[in-house]
Amino acid sequence: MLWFKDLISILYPELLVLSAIVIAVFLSTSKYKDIIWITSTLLMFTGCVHIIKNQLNITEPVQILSGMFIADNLSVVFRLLILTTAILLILGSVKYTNGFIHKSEFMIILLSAVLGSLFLVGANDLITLFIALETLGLSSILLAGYSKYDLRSNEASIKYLLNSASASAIFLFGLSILYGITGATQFQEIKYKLLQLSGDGNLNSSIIVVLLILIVAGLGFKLASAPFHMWSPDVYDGAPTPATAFLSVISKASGFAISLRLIITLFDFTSNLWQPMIITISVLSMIIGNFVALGEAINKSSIKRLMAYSSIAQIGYILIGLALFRTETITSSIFYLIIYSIMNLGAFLCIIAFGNEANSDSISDYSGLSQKRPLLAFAFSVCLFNLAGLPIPPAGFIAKFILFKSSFDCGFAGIVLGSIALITTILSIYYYSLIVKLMIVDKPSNAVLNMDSNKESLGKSNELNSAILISVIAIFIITAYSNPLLKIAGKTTSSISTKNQLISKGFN
Amino acid sequence: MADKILQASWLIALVPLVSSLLIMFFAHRCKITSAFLSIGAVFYGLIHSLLILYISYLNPERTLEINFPWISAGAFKLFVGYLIDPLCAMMLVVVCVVSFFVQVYTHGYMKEDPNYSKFYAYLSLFTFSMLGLVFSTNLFQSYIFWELVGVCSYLLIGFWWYKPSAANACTKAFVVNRIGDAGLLIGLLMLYSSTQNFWLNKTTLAFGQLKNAIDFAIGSHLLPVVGIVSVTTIALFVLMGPMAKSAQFPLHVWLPDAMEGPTPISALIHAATMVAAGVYLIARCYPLYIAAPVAMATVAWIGGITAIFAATIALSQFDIKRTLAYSTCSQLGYMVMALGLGAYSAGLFHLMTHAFFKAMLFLCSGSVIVGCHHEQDIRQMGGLRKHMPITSLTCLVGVLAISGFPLMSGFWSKDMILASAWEHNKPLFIIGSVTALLTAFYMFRLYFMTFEGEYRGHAHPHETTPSITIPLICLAVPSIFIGLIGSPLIPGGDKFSSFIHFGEYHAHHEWGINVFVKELLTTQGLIPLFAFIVGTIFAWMVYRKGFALNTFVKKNLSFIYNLSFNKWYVDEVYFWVLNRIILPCYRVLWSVIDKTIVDGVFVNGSARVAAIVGGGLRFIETGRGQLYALVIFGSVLFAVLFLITRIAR
Repeated sequence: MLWFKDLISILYPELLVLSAIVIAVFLSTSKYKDIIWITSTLLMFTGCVHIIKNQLNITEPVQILSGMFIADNLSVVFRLLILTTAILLILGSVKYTNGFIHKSEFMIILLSAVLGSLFLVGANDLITLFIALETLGLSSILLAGYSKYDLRSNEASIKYLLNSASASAIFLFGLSILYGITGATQFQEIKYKLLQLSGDGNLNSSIIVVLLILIVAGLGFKLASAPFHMWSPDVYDGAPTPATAFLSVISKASGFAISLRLIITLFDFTSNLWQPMIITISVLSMIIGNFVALGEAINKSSIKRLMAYSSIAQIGYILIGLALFRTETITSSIFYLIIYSIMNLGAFLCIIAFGNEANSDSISDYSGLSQKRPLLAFAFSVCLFNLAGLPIPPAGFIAKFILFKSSFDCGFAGIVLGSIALITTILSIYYYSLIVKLMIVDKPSNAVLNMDSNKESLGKSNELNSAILISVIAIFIITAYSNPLLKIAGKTTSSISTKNQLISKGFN
Repeated sequence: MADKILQASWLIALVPLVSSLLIMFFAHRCKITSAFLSIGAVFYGLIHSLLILYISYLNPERTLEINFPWISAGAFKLFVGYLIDPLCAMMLVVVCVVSFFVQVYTHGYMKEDPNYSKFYAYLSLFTFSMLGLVFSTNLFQSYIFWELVGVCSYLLIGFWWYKPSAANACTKAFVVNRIGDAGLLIGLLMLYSSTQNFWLNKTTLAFGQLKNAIDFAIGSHLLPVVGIVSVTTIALFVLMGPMAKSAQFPLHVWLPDAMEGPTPISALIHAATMVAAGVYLIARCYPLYIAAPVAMATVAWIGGITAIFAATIALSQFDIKRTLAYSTCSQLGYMVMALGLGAYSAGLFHLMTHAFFKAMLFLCSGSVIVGCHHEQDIRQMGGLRKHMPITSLTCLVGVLAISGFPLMSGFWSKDMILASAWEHNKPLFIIGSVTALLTAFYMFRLYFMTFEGEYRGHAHPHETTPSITIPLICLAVPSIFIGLIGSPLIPGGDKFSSFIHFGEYHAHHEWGINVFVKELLTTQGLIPLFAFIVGTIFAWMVYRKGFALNTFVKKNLSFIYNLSFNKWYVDEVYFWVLNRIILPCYRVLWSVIDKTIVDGVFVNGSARVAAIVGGGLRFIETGRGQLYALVIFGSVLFAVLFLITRIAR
């Protein structure tokens, strides 16, 4: 029964989320619909505590379910990140879901999406990988279209479905080629076969290139990176804001984790083939994301659209680390991603709070917010400044500094990538601070003035406010105490690379 | 136990921060709670720092340095930590004592203010930043807290922001400090870049390693300019920070204006603690100055010039707080001069004694201001001794201490400085002695005009409440006696120099009455005493006996009088330079370079390009789902074709 014990102790958080789903299903048929968020957050919090207590200091990767799921530092750290952000997100969406006709199902779908992403980051097998990916994807589609009587939400859902199907097709095609070459689904076996083939000189590099392009395209879709980003502004804009936050934070984090695992674990020996692709994607994302976000900000369109482009740009920064493929750059990318998740989630929670109270997503409606809701304006400013990388307080600055510095240490490609990142960051400072300026300097808009008397608005929510508070405090804590986090990121990186060494030693 | 106390010393800094946050977020409506939180926090710090001082005094060699990595990007690492050594222990006690009494005093002084709680929040925040600066283990950490105390000072000078003068004063303080801080940052980065390799597995820019680092850099020819010259450059750039913060000529202009802030702030920040931070930083970076004799001489001369310069201005000021502000400037000049002369212990000894008596003098002035219903002009005072006995008595103690009445605290420290000036640099000794004379004169002028004679104002002066007078009495005690620890009168001799020293260590000095008399009866011992007597007698004759020296100077030597009264026209010169030279040049450059080239081409041009590109790229988003899928497939196809052809070739 040892394997069973292992299974339980590793998959405990996932089982908790699963039981949260089951409980939520039962509760949603009863009259206690309002306590779903309490049971789910409590269960997920237990999962977090379990991970921190039992898994965070894991040294040897543990494989369970005959190699289908792996618990190494990468999966542990990202599962923890996903669970924490998911808790905050659930807190943030309590009030928002009150506006729906079927409010309890939203939580159920959100929880299953979280479950999908938890399995995704621990996937160690092509089948687990694809199923988890589809669980995540389909749940996201449902979330995007949850606002049933809102045409834009329906449109978002359809567009996401269409694009997701295309990307999945491409991705699955890539995976099938991979299976065709190696005849295995488990990552270690695939790696072994690939090394064996390349050792014999039987590995056709053209097929590897095609395979890599297909896989990278599929992952690029999940990360919403250019040129696979086209869906994201429309979907982000139309979807309910908590769903947008989910797509922008959790979905991206798990996408990045699986990109690291797939690309580094399987294809580290052919890094010259995939590095140009990732570099291209990264550069395109930075440029397109920042430029269009600037355009959106100048034209004062929807804040969610702006955040969509901003997160495209941010994923461009994050991909720098993977593109340069050094221990330090990957570490700083993971570190950046962790901080990005917190501050981006904070920003989205603020958007939810504003949307709840003012019933609007338009950028121009934010003007003068600091006069009516100074604390909300403060929290939003902190998150935006950190996204821009301004040192107020310097959590985001530290992350950017470390990432760019590690990039500049990496030769010509690194200097080019770092310079592009720096230049486009300047653009991003403009559009982020434009919103801050609107909130603090400008005269209050009608939406802001009517905040207290707006009949249609959902009003304030303590759960949401506490979630915002937690994320802002987290930013401050990271500012003062960033080193442990950096160490964790370093351990995560070494967990991927040491495993590679082990494999190379064992099989060659 | 002792280890635990030392290791937990970070609590001293953290507790005020927590209390400040608590006041800001939760207690900003409840006056009593906020006062209790803030005073309680600093009281805790006071007890803890006294314990640390005791432990450190028992064994001065026992130091503790703990560093935590804060940011690390490859080889570039920044640390924060805390360093406990005798110097730190002394500063902790000074900061906590002054801060504690000032906070008690604040309760009486700011009772009526609507922003009472906010004031306490800022005070606590300032205490935290100052303690953080004192605890700093390395220059980077110092720089962070250096800026934080600057911000607190800015906030507190502008506390009555609705007064235009206060708003201007805080802006001025901020701008002048920016000049100094820019210099400090440049120096710091130069130092780091020239000694980069030295810090690989050490705490970056740690004070304890500065000497080795400089030796290393000179030894391996790593400094940007040849050896010793660039050490001088670095030291001079670093000096700019202390010059601005400690109000040394020519960056002293902000300090007198900073008196627009509430009086407790003037006592705490602009007399006792923050302005001494510059001196503290010079003391911490002492190896840098030892390695660069030119920079060291510059330090001494800047100190000397500031001392006499500020003293001459203080002679003719009528605003009670401004007079004290110039006197602070002058005394800070003494400290800087002492450090520049190599008299490390003497400079820091004067820092300590000055902190006590100057804080008390400012609190006295605040008490007078409250007693006279917000009147600051000493021409509208006089005869207040009858109305405010406690304030006048404590003020007399302060005046005697600062002007060097024998056996009071200021006497010992000033004597120590002048003795070392006599030894190393005779011109500076003369400057210092003249300053001592002037100090005695203007301080007694202040005292006589305020407390003696007939009341010339129109209000009804009254003694202030106990929460104001009790801190005065409590601070009067150290103002009288604290100097004894550096005197030859106690067993074991000059304990202060044995405790805080740089380089040579003497556990025991000569002591006894005969040593004191022998030291006093030398030239360098008698001249300061003589200066005190002459200054006091002059003040007494002029302001009590009607000897018309002041009107004589005013009428017949109006040039000198105007020079002093108008503060040597420094502000005017700055404004003239600014308006006549910098702004016209700037306008020309602005219209040519900035407006057409930088703004037109780079900024607006790039912004326009960015906006056009951004706006244009927006239209790719047509909203058609088919197109999006097409782009995905298209880019995959393109990539496949492109890379396949590349590989095939």
